Amino acid sequence: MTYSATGFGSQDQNNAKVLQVENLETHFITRAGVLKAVDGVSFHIHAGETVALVGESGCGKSVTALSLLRLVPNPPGEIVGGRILLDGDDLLEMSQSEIEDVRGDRAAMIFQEPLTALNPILNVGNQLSEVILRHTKASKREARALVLDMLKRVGISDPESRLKAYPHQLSGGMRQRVMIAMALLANPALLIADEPTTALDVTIQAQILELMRDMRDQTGAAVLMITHDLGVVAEMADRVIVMYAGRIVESAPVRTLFASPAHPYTLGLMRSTPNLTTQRGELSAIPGLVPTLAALKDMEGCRFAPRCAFASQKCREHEPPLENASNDQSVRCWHWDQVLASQVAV
Amino acid sequence: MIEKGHQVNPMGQMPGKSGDELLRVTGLKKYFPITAGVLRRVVGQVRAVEDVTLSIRSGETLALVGESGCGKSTTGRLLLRLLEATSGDISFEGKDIRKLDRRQLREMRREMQIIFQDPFSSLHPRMTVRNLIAEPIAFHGLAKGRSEIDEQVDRLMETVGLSPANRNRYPHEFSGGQRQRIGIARGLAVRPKFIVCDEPISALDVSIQAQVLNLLSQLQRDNGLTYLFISHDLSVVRYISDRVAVMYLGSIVEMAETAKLFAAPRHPYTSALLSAIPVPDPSLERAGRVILEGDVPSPSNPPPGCAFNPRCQFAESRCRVETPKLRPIAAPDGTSTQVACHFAEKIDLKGVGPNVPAAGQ
Repeated sequence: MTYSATGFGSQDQNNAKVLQVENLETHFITRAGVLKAVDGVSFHIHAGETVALVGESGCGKSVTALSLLRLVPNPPGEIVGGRILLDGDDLLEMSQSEIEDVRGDRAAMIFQEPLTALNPILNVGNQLSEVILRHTKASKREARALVLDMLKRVGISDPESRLKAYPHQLSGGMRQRVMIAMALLANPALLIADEPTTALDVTIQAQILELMRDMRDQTGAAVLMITHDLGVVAEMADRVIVMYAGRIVESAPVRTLFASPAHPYTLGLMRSTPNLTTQRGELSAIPGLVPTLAALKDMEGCRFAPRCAFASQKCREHEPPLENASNDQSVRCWHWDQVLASQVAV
Repeated sequence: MIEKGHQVNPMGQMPGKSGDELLRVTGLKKYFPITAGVLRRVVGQVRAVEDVTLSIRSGETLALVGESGCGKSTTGRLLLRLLEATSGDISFEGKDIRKLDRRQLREMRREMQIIFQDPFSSLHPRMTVRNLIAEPIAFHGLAKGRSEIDEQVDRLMETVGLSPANRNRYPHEFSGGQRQRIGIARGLAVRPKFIVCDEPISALDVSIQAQVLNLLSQLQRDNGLTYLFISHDLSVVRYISDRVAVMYLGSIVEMAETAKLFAAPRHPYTSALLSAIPVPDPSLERAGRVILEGDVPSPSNPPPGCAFNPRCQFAESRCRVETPKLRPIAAPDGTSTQVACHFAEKIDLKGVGPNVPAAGQ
């Protein structure tokens, strides 16, 4: 329980790296050829830390999340390279039964749409008890007691009667609470949340985000949060990783990233999102479109170059490496110093 | 049937004089029956729209915000008679829309268009872009002959930022943002005065949302369009709209100028809604955040009295019996806001935005 007292952050260097991903490559083998959905992604998360993985549809953020628990449908998807270390154990080396023991126990996942993620023909009680019965030697009675306790902790009113409810009988916010309860039952070291509030209304989203913050503080789990919503990022994350077209383009502590984004794409995302102070006419869109994975095959140079205001000839010919802009900020851009300088001028 | 007036101005209609009332809605209701059994006996009613009264001025953007199921999209469809209202009046430029016959309605549809949320399901997949955009032009007889139609299609495609070279492609060959541009071009094709934008950017990626928002603003400026902008995203609403109407469970609970609504909300639901918006600024500590408990009640079984009372921290016994009417209340600066709350004058609510200092400052 030391975590709840001290707050969280990457600054706590004593914390062990719960998750370490090295050079992850997930490809989809299709008739159109090999599509590199995740192309050499490396990052880590400490205990008690929340890392947000941000990007637009098709950038590879969800495939990254699914790859972590080896949930990418195969075929067509295949993890072709890299290492995924959970507390030092390489998940990619594990047998099928070993990885199944990890899922729901040492690492759990919360999905965007709880109605499709929950089993429609199992009631809440049985569905949640299953997690405990699967991973521990607890009896049914003990499992039921643990489930009841967890339902109370995630703020479900009248939990006894909810045990008999089926997912379709619950509201969207309630279902997401059930999902969170299910994910936390086994007290996982790593919690992956894939757009957990995107399907919810804004007042319910606020409830669920608050619950997730409380639960993170109570359990000290490492959290990977996948989202496209910069507001949610600002409220939840300690560190942010921005992905574009299968690659990490920037990684930084949340305050650094919002105060001084070093990648033109990050800057563009922020300037194209209205917030509560944006005046009319201030919103500047990123021109063009996210490249399709198929189009990337023939692409040399930086993947963002066709949409980038800072792009030079070098950018179109050579892809930049991910390099450090400062101690804790890394960026994949030849011109990150210009990107930072451009913000000082404004 | 083409009225003479429409042939005069080649680029769109005469923009109405800015500020005149274009549309007035009074006491609008829409109940959907709940049926049961083989005889489809009516056993109840979903009160999707309970009581909506509003007016839209020519050239302005009125935003209709609320959470899913509050009736905002139903209201948008009722205004265009894509759905028939249960009761209430809708008058567009003084004409009672609900009394129009088929032929008159068809003419009226030239003036009023809708842009849908989902650019994937709202375009016919087997029609080319050219045909999709030409359809409303031909249907309303706005051009003579193929070449004139093609000319207009090309010009519309350019207007919305699509290359006319792609006119023979099919919707699936375009991205979401481009498809939404096709939908906008279709809406513009008949040179309407009024467009209902039903969550036009919700299905789009963040970087594309700004492109479409800017396009809608541009088109409004160039053509003097009037928008009803339906959205659940308050940051977007704040950016694009002149006035905002907040809906809860089928009724408007507050209506005010945008800046005022955000800075000084007068209804507890508006305040809670604003407080729930995640703000993309990690340095901002938000004190006194209101997190609403519970869910929106079912519109088939609304609570007695004020629909918001079960979730309202200010609710008193009167709120549980008497439904508050939308009424004007005076603001300190002499202007007025419409609010449906018994205690709007007494309660002290927090707003958001540049005028509101962060915690402890």
